[in-house]
Amino acid sequence: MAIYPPERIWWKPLGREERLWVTVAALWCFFMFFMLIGWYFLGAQNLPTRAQRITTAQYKSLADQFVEANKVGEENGVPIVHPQPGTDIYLVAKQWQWTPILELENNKTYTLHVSSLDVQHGLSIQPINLNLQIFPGYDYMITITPNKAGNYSLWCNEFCSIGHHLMTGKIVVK
Amino acid sequence: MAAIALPNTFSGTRSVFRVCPVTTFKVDLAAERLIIVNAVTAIVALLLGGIYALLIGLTRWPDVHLLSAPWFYRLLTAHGMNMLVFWMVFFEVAGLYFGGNALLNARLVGVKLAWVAYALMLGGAILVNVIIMMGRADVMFSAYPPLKADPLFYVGYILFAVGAILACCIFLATLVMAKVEGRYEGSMPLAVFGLLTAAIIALFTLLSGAVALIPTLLWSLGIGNVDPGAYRVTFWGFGHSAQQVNLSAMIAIWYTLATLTVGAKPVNEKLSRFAFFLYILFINLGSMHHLLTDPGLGTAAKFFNTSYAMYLAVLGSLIHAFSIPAAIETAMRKKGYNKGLFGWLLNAPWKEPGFSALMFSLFIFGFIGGPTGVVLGAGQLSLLAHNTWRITGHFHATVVGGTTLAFMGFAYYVLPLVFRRPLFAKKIAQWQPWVYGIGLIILSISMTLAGTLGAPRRHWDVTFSNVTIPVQVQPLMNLMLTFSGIGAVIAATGGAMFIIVAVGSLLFSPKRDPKALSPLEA
Amino acid sequence: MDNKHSGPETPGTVVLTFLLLLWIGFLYFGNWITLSQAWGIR
Ligand code: HEM
Ligand SMILES: [Cu+2]
Ligand SMILES: [Cu+2]
Repeated sequence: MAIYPPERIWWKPLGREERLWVTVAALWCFFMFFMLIGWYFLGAQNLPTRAQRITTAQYKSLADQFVEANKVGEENGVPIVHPQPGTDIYLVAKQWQWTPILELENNKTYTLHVSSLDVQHGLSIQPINLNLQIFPGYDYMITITPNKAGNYSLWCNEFCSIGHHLMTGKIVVK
Repeated sequence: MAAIALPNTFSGTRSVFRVCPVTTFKVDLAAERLIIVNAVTAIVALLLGGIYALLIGLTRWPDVHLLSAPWFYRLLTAHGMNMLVFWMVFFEVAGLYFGGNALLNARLVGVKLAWVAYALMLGGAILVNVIIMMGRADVMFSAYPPLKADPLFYVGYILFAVGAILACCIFLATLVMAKVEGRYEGSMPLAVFGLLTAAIIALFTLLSGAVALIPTLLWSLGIGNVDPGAYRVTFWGFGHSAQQVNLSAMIAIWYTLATLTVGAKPVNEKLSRFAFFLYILFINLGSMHHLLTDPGLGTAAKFFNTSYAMYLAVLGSLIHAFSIPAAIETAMRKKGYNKGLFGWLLNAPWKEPGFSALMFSLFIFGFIGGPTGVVLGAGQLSLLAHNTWRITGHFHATVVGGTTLAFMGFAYYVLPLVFRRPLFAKKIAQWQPWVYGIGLIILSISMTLAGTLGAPRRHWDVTFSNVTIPVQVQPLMNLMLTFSGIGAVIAATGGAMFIIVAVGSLLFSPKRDPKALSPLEA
Repeated sequence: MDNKHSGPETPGTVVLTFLLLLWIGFLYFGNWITLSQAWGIR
């Protein structure tokens, strides 16, 4: 009875079925742990871990230079850029826009920098559903290799004040 | 009705007890009053949170889209605070006083301090609610800086946490005193052991909350700065570990309900206690899984904290997942329901609200909330789910369909005992776990599926109607959002049924034995 | 009372828990497959 003190001697050996279940459960837990490590070495998708501190002003000026150097057009006032494959590319999160619009080449690798100029945001790349938390003051460096041509939508999935639902962006893979 | 006064060993005072006619436990009247006020306050928070739940649920139903954007975000903040923090913790404090006093026949240590703890918690909760409704804290319950709220919001949060820390200390002191005064024989009951686990984790949790919120309060007053990453580490040391408090309390209640409804006895006390012990050791590290996609943390830190240690905590949960149904099955088979594999389950007392609440809670937590959590916590997989509605779907199957429903089932037993009034509207109570449980199954599954299709959490307009850069939304997402709206309405109905029964019992049921109220007459 | 061995026979629970494990495995591997289709990211 769970609500009364147990019998004096309650440390008894496990029954057969309990032993079986505990063993199977423990094996499954260890499997999941080794899966994490295995994927780290074998898988193509891993948690990005490169980041460095940066002031929002510094980040803004880096991103502005990047846009100026690679701009190829504009959509509704948001610049479109087409950077060289293999280079460092910059995405800015701010209330309430992802900017610029990035044009990337399929199967090429880029170092994507993302940082916020104000509060925290959530980078959500759709429809592949990759999601990352974005801070101000941290330059997050993410190595990406798009594997399918098409239009990718960006939206924000961290509450970033009253216009949160207005915050969108775009990546085009050609 | 007998009330007895027992002298206390260390102070000259006397505590006044009554003997519960139903359970024969000796109940300290001072503890009983605190159980009642904490439980009633919890239910008021649940009522507020539930009204907001319906309104935000109807807003996220695309064809209804009820509230304006500012009110949606405001009430979402209020929903998170009232449900996750105030309802849960007030009810848990009531549960601690019940477990530490009634179940052990013990007296409450530090009655005055317990009232101070209650006053701090109540004051904090009222302050937070008022500031949110004034529109000065539209920041969500997580309040990530540099999004800033009114300083009084953080003040309220901190007051509440301090009060809760105090309540946990009182519970621990009560346990020690019960042992010293020999109020129970041998080891403490398993349910109390589970509550002890919850209280130990709670102390760590609440301290972590204070570490997160005090610098934030200073920053909101213009003193110093808060690093967004450091805030998230300490905040989730509070926010996630609080879920482990809820988990431990829920499991303690599962064992209790299994005993009360079918007379189940833990199959192996050693194993169940070991599983609780795994929680104490390892589960705090799980808070790191909120930070997997953050910049600034290394791979090794992420993997150790989320996986290695956390999977040992998962092992603890898998053990309970076996022990509890096994205890129920054993008890039912002993009663002669031996037919086939599941005869014991089919013949169980499904009309008993305590039992159906237990089973829905076990099922929703065990088959939806738990498995989705194991998947979400797996390092790289977090990339697929972080901040999507999958997260919201996951925890509406853990803390809402699991813990809250278990608490409701427990309330059906405890409220009549402490109010000393029979349950009001038993017919409603009988159906309540079914309505609430089914609503939550629909709600959490459709939230999860919508999130799998990319639906963001905390979001007023997933049709993206007024954006500068148009985006493409997967067509099925709308359907899932509609289902979630329907689930929300059903679940909110179930929540309202609980409130009717609980409040009705207090206000409209006849008092069982008016004499028992006054200990002096005994 | 069966004091000699603490493990009573609970075949129904055994079936339920193994179903649970299958279900967790299904969700788990399904998600790994989904993730493996996404962009390379590191
Ligand atoms: C009647 C039952 C309930 C319904 C219909 C409901 C519905 C919802 C909805 C629609 C959201 C909004 C999600 C979003 O926009 O991202 C939400 C968020 C939330 N709910 Fe509930 N809920 C219910 C009960 C509860 C309970 C009992 C708890 C806690 C014990 C709870 C805790 C939360 C939390 C913590 C959030 C997240 C708030 C945030 O993202 O800041 N809910 N709920
Ligand atoms: Cu944003
Ligand atoms: Cu946002």
